[in-house]
Amino acid sequence: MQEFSKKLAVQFKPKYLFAHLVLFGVGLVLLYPLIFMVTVGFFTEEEFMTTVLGLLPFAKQPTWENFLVLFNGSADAAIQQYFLNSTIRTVYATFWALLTALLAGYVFARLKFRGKEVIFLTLLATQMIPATVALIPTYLQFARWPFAGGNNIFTGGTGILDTWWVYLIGGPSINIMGAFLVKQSMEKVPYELDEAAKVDGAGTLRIIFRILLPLQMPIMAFIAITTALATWNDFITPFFYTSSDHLQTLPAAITRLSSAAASPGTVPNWPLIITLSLGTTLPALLLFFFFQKYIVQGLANTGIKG
Amino acid sequence: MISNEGKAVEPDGGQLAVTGGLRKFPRKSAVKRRDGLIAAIILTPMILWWLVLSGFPTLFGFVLGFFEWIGISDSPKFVWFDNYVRFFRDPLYYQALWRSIWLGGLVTSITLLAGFGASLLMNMPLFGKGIYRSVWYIPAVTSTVATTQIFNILLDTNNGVINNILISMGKPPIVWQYSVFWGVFWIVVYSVWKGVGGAALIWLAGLQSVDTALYEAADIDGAGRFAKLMHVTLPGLKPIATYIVITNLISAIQIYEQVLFMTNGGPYGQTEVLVFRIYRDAFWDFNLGMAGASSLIMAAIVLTATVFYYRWSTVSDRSITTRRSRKIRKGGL
Amino acid sequence: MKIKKIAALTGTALLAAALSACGGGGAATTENGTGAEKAGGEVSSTPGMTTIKVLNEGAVSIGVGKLDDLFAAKEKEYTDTGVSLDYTPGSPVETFPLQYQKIMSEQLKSKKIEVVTEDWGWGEPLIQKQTAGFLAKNIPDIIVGETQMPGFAQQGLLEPFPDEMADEIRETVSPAAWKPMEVDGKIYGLAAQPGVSNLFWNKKLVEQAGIDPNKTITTWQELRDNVKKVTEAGAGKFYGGGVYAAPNFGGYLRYGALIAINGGSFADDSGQPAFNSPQNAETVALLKDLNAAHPPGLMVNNNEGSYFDAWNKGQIAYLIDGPWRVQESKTAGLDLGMAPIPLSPNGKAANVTIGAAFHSVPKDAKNKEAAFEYIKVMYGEQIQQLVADSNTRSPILKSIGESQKYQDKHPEMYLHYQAMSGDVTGLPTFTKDNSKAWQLWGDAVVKSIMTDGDIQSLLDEAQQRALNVTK
Repeated sequence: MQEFSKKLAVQFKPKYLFAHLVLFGVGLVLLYPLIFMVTVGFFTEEEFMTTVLGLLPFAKQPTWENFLVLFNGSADAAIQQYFLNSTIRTVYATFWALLTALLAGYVFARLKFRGKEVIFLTLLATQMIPATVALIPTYLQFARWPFAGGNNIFTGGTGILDTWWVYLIGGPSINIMGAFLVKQSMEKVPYELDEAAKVDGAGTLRIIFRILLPLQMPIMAFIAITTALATWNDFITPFFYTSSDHLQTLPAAITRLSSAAASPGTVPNWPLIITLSLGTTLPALLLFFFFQKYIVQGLANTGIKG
Repeated sequence: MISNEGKAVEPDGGQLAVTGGLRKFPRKSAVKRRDGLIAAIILTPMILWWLVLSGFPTLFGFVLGFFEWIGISDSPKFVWFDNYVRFFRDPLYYQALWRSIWLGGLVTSITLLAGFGASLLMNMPLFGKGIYRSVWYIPAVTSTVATTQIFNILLDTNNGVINNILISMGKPPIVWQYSVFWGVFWIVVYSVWKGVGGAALIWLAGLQSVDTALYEAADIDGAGRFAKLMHVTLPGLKPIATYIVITNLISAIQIYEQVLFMTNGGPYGQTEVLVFRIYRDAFWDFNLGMAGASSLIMAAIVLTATVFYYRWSTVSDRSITTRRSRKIRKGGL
Repeated sequence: MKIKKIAALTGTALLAAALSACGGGGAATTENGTGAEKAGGEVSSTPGMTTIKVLNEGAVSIGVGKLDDLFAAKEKEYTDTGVSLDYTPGSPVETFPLQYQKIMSEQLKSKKIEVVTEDWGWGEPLIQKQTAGFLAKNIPDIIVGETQMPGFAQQGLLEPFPDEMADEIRETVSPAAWKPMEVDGKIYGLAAQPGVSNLFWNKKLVEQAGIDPNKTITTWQELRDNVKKVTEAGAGKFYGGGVYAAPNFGGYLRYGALIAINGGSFADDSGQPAFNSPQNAETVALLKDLNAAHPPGLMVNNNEGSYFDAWNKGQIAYLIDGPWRVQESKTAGLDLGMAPIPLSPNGKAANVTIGAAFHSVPKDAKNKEAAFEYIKVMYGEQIQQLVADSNTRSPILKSIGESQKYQDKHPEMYLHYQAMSGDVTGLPTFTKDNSKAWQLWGDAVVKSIMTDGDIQSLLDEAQQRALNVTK
């Protein structure tokens, strides 16, 4: 309790007031477009069309219609199914990203072997290539996947296109950016920790998961957040490599609903489109709130001081 | 790559990137052999998998850079370096590349600096810092398609919010879309808006992993706030800095969606960046050869920059790590 | 050391290159599937029926999947919101997409054909996915699209309509539905309810400028004068307007009609640019005059929605646009006039299709015969009667569009039908680097409009640069 009041008193020091002011003020500016989105969500299409927009538009006859579409979907949108698909996909991808980043990060940070830097930089180099260039080759590769989807060796069917494999296949592949981050972070951890563990007879896996992983929690949380959000928001993969309704994810389905709300030559139904895109953001936000608390526990409180 | 790893067990081969910390291990071939084996076991499946799924399609795209392949139904024709020659002759391409580079540089530096400042504030024991952190990060959560549309509504020339406010103040509205300055300005604002929270977050993770023992040691030495920032915080952040600079640069140079949705390359192609050009080549003109060649050139440039930066930063990193671990040992380990 | 490293890298690259060469060969030598296999998904076909895959078009879409399975949910959606499902041909229809698909399903069932729909989006995403689909030879039996479709036809990716079908179409169907898809005397696609542009005006605004709102204007000069008058009367509150002219397809499609009226064109018959003809310069001069009658920057705003937003808000008085404008203006509560697009002194009526969903059968389609049956139903009497009853678009079947009954019942849409029956074209596709050529054109036009540069020399410059690109 005493701790608390001390902490409270400190908040009123000029330095702290300044920090509050900046973080709050800029934060408000950063949040502004999203607040704008929320207020627009209450408009009907007709009212939005005739409103002269001010800093924040408020609907005269607010409606829940747009938000209802989000939860009920329309007849052709099985929202629950999309939500489930999105969730499974995100959890799967995040799991593998964390695992491969941790293991590969360990290898690059701690082990000594020939060709390490070449391998590492080659992997890193591939991240510099605009994804656009691989889009069509990947499509061809999926379509020609051997012995899948009616293919004999390479031809005949549609390969793994339009199947769940499109989402699952990338899992065990190395998460390069994650590995990079883990490597950078692990290099700061003193070797004495590893050595001490080794003396106690710990194997490699034990060192990774018992000794090093706890120290990497903030970093792992960051990787989890970015991977989960990227996967959740990704609409290229479902859009490009699948067609069937039962394979769509939330963003893909919402992109579809949005494009239906914007037919040629008409003014798009902005309130609906904006509400829908807010809707995809919401679960992602919850995800963030869930993971972000791990970042608080910095290395300082996990006993690195030895 | 695999054979490369296999050879790693060779005794006393050349050593690469040995960090200061590693030097403390006995330089025995037995350790190295064991390390190589573990590395092979861990990395081989991941990298093989990655080669099949990402490496192969990417190389496929690159190889196309040596072909003229216009139209889906024509068969590709091998043209050596024609596409590359065209790239450096046609202002459409080299100007787009140049634009990508300086725009990417601008976005990266502003995002990182602003993010760093914010992370210093967020690292203070403030009330509600979790909320601040979340609020700052929210823009990164949103989808680009949706939020660029919001920016467009705000910036619309005719009925946009900002121009409405300008008009109500008696000022003439601004035609944003036909000014290069404003086009670049809003692309940068959007990119920073979306990126600054993420940057702050990762800087923060870095800050929190700086050993508090070092601050205590500095306090004992009577170091001032600025001295602590320069001699403890910044060196401690170096590895994270390497990561954050490289990743931000990579993504900033590939800025494309905000350009597509906000300026569409205009006015008169003056905000057209290279990835935008690549996209148009691949999907509008079915000119997959040019798209492949442009991608390769772009990758080569980013790679060169990255390797230099990486080298430079890891070299200086080694000395710091050594210094630091010595200090730590002195300080109580 | 260094050399070893480089060698290792090179080796890796070579290996991967070899691998990719194999893969490329595999893809290139791929032949058509046997037709027996079915693409993924959980759709099963009824024995004895041929299943065709059809891409959705927004205006008639009721969802994705097997068509017959979609009706129940859609009907429920309508009844839940209190919309009646009843429809008798010849009377207004409230459930257009549902009725459209029901007719489709019934008609095709009698020919032992079943339809499965897929949604590949519209615009740029659609083009991307179609490109990939063509390359991988994984493409539905019917594909739809707008500006990209003539390009696909020119590249030989589409199957020409069988001769007797093409002859029948030429004889009984309005040219707007197929003319843009005609390449070398063969027809490659058909739109069941295409649009062309007309002139619309906001009667209230026109009246405020002291112009008779019921008088039809017929010449460019009148248009120039009227937009000027309205702009002056509006005094910054509202403007004369005219036509959307941004450097994108939304712009080209709309002022393309003015280009065609004045006898100009974007490209010659061999797909080379024809930017700098005096006719084009005259049209661009008109655009420049119209721009003076717009709020700053509106006419060339990249976002087409902004332009029509201004119309709906009663900020511009004149507009050249497709037939959906009638319905949408009624929704926005505007009293509008409608007429054919005014003509230039030496011009004659001409138009460009807009908002047309061309349906085509790809060369690599698995069930081409069944796919052509689908297209036949599209221009069949029942579907076309439904389009007529919808009153947002005009039917393409001459027997319905030209009937006295249609003329009396739907006067506005009959006006639109007449515009469809004249000299109608689509936008051309340039032989090479299509997007670059278009961009050069679009930028030259915007520069002419927004700056004081000489129009002819701006167009000359664009022509020169475009020739370097397309040759």
